[in-house]
Parts: sequence; C-alpha cells; structure tokens
Amino acid sequence: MKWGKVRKGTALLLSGICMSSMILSGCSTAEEDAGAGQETEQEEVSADTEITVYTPAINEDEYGKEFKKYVEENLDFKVNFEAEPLLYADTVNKATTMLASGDDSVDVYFIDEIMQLSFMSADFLEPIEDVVTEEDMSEFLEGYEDKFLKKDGHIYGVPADFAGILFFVNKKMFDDADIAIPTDQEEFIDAAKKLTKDGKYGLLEAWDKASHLQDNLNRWCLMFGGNFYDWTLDGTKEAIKFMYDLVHTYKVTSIDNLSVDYETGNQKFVDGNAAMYFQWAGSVPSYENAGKYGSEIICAPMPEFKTNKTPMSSWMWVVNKKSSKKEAAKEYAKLMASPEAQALYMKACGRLSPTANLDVWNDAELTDGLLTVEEHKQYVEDDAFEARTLSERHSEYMDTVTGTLQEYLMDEISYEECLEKGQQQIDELLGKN
Amino acid sequence: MKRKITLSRRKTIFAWMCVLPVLVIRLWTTAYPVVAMSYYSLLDYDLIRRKKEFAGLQNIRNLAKNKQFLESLSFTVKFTMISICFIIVLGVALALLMKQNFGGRKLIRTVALIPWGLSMIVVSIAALWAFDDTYGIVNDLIRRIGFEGYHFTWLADKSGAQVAVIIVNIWKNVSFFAIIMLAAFQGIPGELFESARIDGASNWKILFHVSLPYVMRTFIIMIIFVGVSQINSFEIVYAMTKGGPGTTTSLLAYRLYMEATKNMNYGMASAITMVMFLVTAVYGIIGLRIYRKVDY
Amino acid sequence: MKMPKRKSAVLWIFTIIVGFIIMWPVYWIVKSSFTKQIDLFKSPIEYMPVNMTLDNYRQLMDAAGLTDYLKGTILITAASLFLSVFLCALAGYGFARCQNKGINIAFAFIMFSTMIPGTVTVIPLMTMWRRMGLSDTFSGLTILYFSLLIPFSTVMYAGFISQIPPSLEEAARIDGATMFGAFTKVILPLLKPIMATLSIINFITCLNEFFIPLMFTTKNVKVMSLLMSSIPKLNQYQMPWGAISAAGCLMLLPAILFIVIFEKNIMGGLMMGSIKQ
Repeated sequence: MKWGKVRKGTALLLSGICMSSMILSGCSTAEEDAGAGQETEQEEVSADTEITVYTPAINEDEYGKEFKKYVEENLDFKVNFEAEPLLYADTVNKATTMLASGDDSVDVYFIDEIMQLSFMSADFLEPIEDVVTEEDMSEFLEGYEDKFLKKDGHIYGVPADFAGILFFVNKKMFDDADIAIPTDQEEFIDAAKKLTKDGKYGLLEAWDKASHLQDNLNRWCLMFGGNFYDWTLDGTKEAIKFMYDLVHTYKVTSIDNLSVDYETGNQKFVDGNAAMYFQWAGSVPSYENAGKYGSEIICAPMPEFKTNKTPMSSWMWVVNKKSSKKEAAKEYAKLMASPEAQALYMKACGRLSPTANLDVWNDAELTDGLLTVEEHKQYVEDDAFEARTLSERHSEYMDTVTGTLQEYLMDEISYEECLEKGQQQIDELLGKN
Repeated sequence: MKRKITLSRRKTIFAWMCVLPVLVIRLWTTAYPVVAMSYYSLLDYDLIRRKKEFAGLQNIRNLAKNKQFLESLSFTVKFTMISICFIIVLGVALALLMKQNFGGRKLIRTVALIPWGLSMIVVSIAALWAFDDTYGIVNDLIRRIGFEGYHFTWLADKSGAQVAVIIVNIWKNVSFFAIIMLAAFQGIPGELFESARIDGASNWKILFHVSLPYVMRTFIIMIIFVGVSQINSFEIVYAMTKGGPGTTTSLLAYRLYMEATKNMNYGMASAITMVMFLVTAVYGIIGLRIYRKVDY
Repeated sequence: MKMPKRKSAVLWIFTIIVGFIIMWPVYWIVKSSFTKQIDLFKSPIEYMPVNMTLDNYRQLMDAAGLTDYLKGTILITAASLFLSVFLCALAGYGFARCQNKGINIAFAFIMFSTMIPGTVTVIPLMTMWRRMGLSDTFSGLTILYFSLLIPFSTVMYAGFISQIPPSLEEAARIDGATMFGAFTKVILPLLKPIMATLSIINFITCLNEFFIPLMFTTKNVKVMSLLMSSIPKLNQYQMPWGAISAAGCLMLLPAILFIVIFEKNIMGGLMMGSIKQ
C-alpha cells in the first residue's frame, strides 16, 4: 500500500466526519454553551419530585440514618444522595465537566471554596436568595459571605462546615523537654530549635504541591501581616523568607516536607515525629482515632507573630443552574442551613469539625459528637480566624506559584528570583480575568 | 495477491460489511467530539471569563511561548521514551519467560498480570506511600538489604520524583506488553525453531533472527499503542506528585487536565489536545509506515 | 519433552525474581486490606500480619447497594466483551483480507482515534449522549466501553489474521461455504490464542475502567470501579486506605480467576505452526 494514497483518502474521510458531525451538532449548539442563560423547564414540586444531591459518601451508621431521616421528615419530596468520587481531583473533574456540558442529572452539589469561585464566575450556579434569605445568612460567621457566597448581589450557596488551621502541639514532647508552649515568634523559634533532636523535628509542615503548600504559605503570610496574592508586601516577603529559614537557617523542619501532604503529615505527627504542626481542624479525628488527642496532642492558641491570624474555610451546598427542579433544590439548601441539619450532616459524613451555623456551637445537644468546638470558640474569641483570599484562578495558583516557591525552598532559585517569578505568575493569572 | 475479478468486488463488499459495525461505533463516539474539540482549539473559550469567540491560532501561539508548556513537553518526551524502552526490553524478556514450558508457567503468567489488573487508584495511593521515607516499602527494603542509614525522600527531590513516577509506570505497564508478546510468540511455528537449531543458531540468534522478525508486526503495533497510552497517561503523576516538586513531573496530559477542569479554559485545553494529537500522530504514522513495510 | 534440570532451575530463579518485584508491593497492599486502620502505617514496616481483621471487607459488603455495583459491572463487561470478541474479530478479518484505499483509511482512522486524550472531548460527547438519552444508561455505557475496546482488539485481530494463509478459507469456499461461513468455521477457531489473550486484556480493562463511568454515570448505573466512592472517608483528610486496598483486592479476584481460566488457551503455537505454509 502506498502512503500517499492514504493521505488523499484521509482528507476525504475527515470531510465526511465533519459533515456527519455537523448534522449531529446542528440539533442545538446553544445548550452546550454553559452559562448561555437559557432557562430550563421547571418541574412543579410535588411528592413525586426527586432531587439528586452529590455529596461525599454518607456513613451507613446511626448518624447517617439520622441525617437521612431528618431530611425525609422535613422535606415533602424525595432526596437521593449520590457519593462523590473518593479523590478530590476526580470530584472536581466530574463536577466541572458535568456542569460545563449543561448536565441536569445532579441538582445540588457540595463543593469547596475554590470550585465555588470558579463556578460562580462561569455562571454554573443558581442564585438562591429568594429562598435562603439574608436572615438565614446572619447565623453564619461574618465576612465569609461576601468572599464566597455572594456575587453581583446574589447569594449562591449555603456553607456547611467551619474549620480553621489550628496550632497543634505534641504536649508530651514539650513536657519532656520542659519547654513552655510558644506564644510569639521568638519563643516559637526557640522552642522549635530545642525540640529538634534525635531525628525529631520541632516543626512539621505539609508542603506538598497540591493544596497543602499554598495553605501554609497563606497562613505564614497572615501571621506576618502579608497576603499570599501579593508578593510585593513586606509581610509576604518576610513569610517566604521565614519558610526558607525554617529549613535552611534554623533547621527546625525538614525539606522532605515537600512531599508531605495532610495525610502523611497527620501520620507523622501522630507518631510523634515532630512537636508542632499547623493543621486544619478536620484532621483531629485522625488524632482521636489514634488515641492521641487530648492526652498527647493538643490544640494551643495561635502564637502571635505580627498577627495571630490563621485561615478558615468551609464547604458549601450549591444549586445547579441547569437543574429542572430548582425549587426543590433550593428548599433542600435552605434546610441545610438549619442548625439541626448542619450538626447532623457533619456527623453523617464523618467531617467532625464545627458547623458553619454558629447557633449550633452553644447547643450542647447538637455539638455532642463534634470535635474541636471549644477550640474554635477560643480562636474566635481571640479573633484569630480570617476567611481566605482566593481567586477564580486559584487552581492555577496552586500549580504555578507554589511550584516556584518549592523551587526556592529547594534552594534552586534565589530569594529575589523567587519573589520576581512568583509575583509575575500571580499578575499573569489575575490578568486573565 | 491476485484474485479473480468477479470475486474481488464481492470480497471488497464483504470486507466492508465486516468492518462496518466497528467503524460505525467508533465514528459515533469520536467523530463529533473530535470535530468540536478541533473547533474549540481555534476559539478564545474560557468559562471563567465567560468568553467564547474566534481567536484563530492565538492559542497555539500562546502555547509556543509558554515556558511551562515547553517544560511539560520535554518531560513528556523523556517520560515516554524511557518508559517505552524499559517496557519493551522487560516486556519481551517477561514474555519469553512466560513462554517457557516449565513447572512455574502458570504461576508466572498469573502473577505477571497482577500489576496491570490492579485498579489505578489503588496503585497510585500505594505508590504515594511506597516512596515515603518513613513509611515507604521502597526505602524500607533498601535499608533491610544492607544500607541501614539510607534516607531519601524520593518525591521531594526533582530527579527522585521523576524516577519514582517512571518506575511505577513501568511496573504497572510491563505486563500488558508482555502478555500480548507472549500470544505473538506462541504463534510462531515450531518448525522454524527446529530448523534454526539444526543450523546451530544460538538462543540469542534465534531471538533476533527468528522470533522477533516473525512477531514484528505485533511488536510494532504494541509499541505504537503503549507509546500512545504513555503520552496520554497522567493518573500516576496526579496522585503521586501533582506535577511537583516545582514543575518537574508535569506531564502534558496533566497540564491538559489542569487547563480544562481547573481553569476551564477549553480553548487552551483543546490546543494542548491538538498538540498532543499531532505528537502522537507523527509517532503513529512512523509506526504504521514500518508496520506496512514489514511483511513476514 | 523433558527440560534439562539446569535450564529449569535458571527459569525458576528468574520467576522468583520477577515474582518478588511484582508481588512485594502487591503483598503490602493485600496485607493493608486485612489491617486495622491504626496499624496501617508503621516504621519500620511490619511485613508479618498482626491483628488481622476483616473489618475493611465487611465495610465494603455493607456499602449501600453492593449488588447494584456488581450487576452493573457484570452486565456491561459481559456485553462489551461479547461484542468485542465477535465484532472486532470480524473487522480484523475484513482489514486483513482486503487491502484497498478505503479499507486502509478506515484502519488508520481506528488506530488514530485512540490518540486523542479524552479530557476535552468528553464535554461534547457528554452533551451528545444526553441529547440521545444515553447518559447514565446501561446501553450508553456499553457502547462507550465497547468503543474503548475496539481499536486495540481490531488491530490485534487484523495482525493475527494476516498471518493465517488465505488458502485455508479459499479451500473452504471451494467446498461450498459462504464468505461468512468461511470466517466462522475456518478463521474463528484458529483465533483461539489471541482471543483468549484479548479477552483477558479486555476483561481487565472493562473491570478497571474509571474515566467513562466517572463521567457517564450518576444514579442509575453503578460499576465496581466506582465502589470506592461509596466508602466514607475517615475525615476530610484521611483516605480509608484499608478499605481502598480491600476494594482493590476484591477487584483483583475476578481478574485472577479469569486469567487462570483462560491462560491455557493462550498456548496455540503448535496448531498455528501446522497451518503456516
């Protein structure tokens, strides 16, 4: 066979494919344009209505059953819970692809702040302020709503959990060395140095590239009064230098942190490989399961560097704009804002951090079974929490900017190069909007 | 081959009827998506900015200037070449071992396919732990066989991460190559070996002058298919390193995933897809040309 | 034919080395599936199982709707396996026996259609699938699975059939068989080795396929490769590695069973040899 002949024929075949595709796609192309603003036909809410809610797997235990029963009793339509994929990456992939293709098979999604910002921008979500009012929102922590739930005067989501990055210390190591838990920068460095010995480190950091390094960068920036989206600020520069110094100057933490994610980090911390660890409150069940929380590992107040600020975050319920049962979906979202539903859901999916609805926090009955409620109360009292400053392009940030930071931490580029390249990447990604 | 003319036409029609069901299904599931994707690659199509307008070759031009993209391209080539070479050599060796008629044949044939049969999620999570310095079985083994003080955090080191990713990839994919080569080797007529032996050929000579030439077509096809799947694979990288540290292990397919699902920039993602297709197509055309030339 | 002892010993040594490289991580995965969550990660690593537990498997068995997952996998895998064995062999026959421009282009198309990564193309495909009412249905999934198997199987069959001398079917045709009859009676039986191999490969591919069900199923169809989603996480940051490894082992069982059953069919050299001219 001659290849030349094939090439001629390939052109023929390709044009044939084009023709057939045009016929196929000709039916309607508008639907494909997500966010084109086409109204989908709405079903009336009745007892036969069924909505599909996409959530992390709900436990098959008492808590799970209780939550499902609560939903069933309080809504006069049926709610099907479908489990999100195990890996976060797959969840993002699936949710984004379905929404981008205009899919209506899922009515309510459970997403994080990063997805929330890009989904709001892409007009994937239905405003819900006609059902979930400002009054409902007043029960949640202030300042959060404007950053993540509102856009152009509309409300787009109901937050579910509330978790901050807390300061965990291995009390046993501190007691054995007879050192007090640090409250400011000087004490912090001092304690970290003293506790770095016998193959153990004073500090453990999760610097894996995914979300972990940017979380820590964010926190150090807050602590030094900077902002991780602005590398020209002195606070940010100081924070970046400090992270480098932790490894190379003070030598109180290992460069191996670059491969530590929250999961391996938690394991190391439970095994007593390090004395101090800043970590999301959601990890406490791991310490609890290992029988270490309270006895060996405890939560201490944030040490005050320039500030004592630390990031907080929550996941939220949102309604698919293409859903054909928006009314029912909104009612579900409203129910999820109620104190009972919030507490029940936290327990049902094993995410035992406090709820976003602050009314729950003082209700002993509802908080029974939740972890770190008192710790969070203390942090709120100390005014330590700050909602994260993210952008629609935060995933790109996590890929490019943190990559640059990793290079600096590995000593492959200089401090100046790092600052310049990082800021350039930030400008680039913010400039895309 | 010469056939009678009257018969030849009927044969052609019959051949088309044989091919048709498969062709229709394949066209049905790929034609429209591919055409749509090619069209997107010419658009400035970004859902976050809510933009969808014609931009011509702007996406491709942007890619050519994008340093990270070029880095990804070079690592992808490296990753693919190294993986392929090892997969071919180890795969043929494993196939030859599985072909031997000895007591352990059934055992080795079953065992060999296990890595390929394991689900990707399980392998990737296991791999993440396996290369950990403290809890990983890799360093543990190295320490046990006599290097007691050995400490190395594979995934926190640039070349370490690249090597680890490639090792896992090879481990997972060799058996697929091997089992197909086994089937091909099994198709070699026994007489060929016997006559070669009578001529006094050594085992190596038989391998290179009898066995491999006989299975050359399958061999080339396998190199094409495995190569393509290497170029398009990213799950291992996603789970193990997220493209890090830095951008050292960002495969093209991983960059594509980031651009499409995370940045929702479908114009750019389509352009990356087109580049990947062109790279694989060149690879495939070369392979197919050799395939056509080989006639045993 | 008896093998010299020395050769056999060398082969065993190689088998043990290969077996170790493969089974050593696999052993760790299997061991994990029988280990309690708190004993999973130890340094140095405990290779001997202590405190074995079936909890992880029990958790999977209790997972909501396990039977749905089983049903989906069996139905879709069986259907696409059946289709691929027959239709791809038929197509391979067409490609191997007829060489003209059109057929060659079709062959090239089938090969090149695998070279396009699915991350972007999945969106138009999803739109089309929904419009046709195939999203989240068994038939829709089966078509996609089958389509996934086509390129490799077809090309493999074509390569294999092209090594069978055409004189065989011509003889059958002279005896009065139709073209189709010649294919089913003469060619198909000769394909046993490659059919066994491809069935094993395709079975494992279907069993482990993740991307298609991830994207195209929501509530009506469930397959085993998504079973892991139904395992609740221990908390936001901790993977239930015990249960995940148990799910992996559970999926490996049918694959191993399939290999053991079909392994002996891979051997076909003698028969093929006798027909090669």
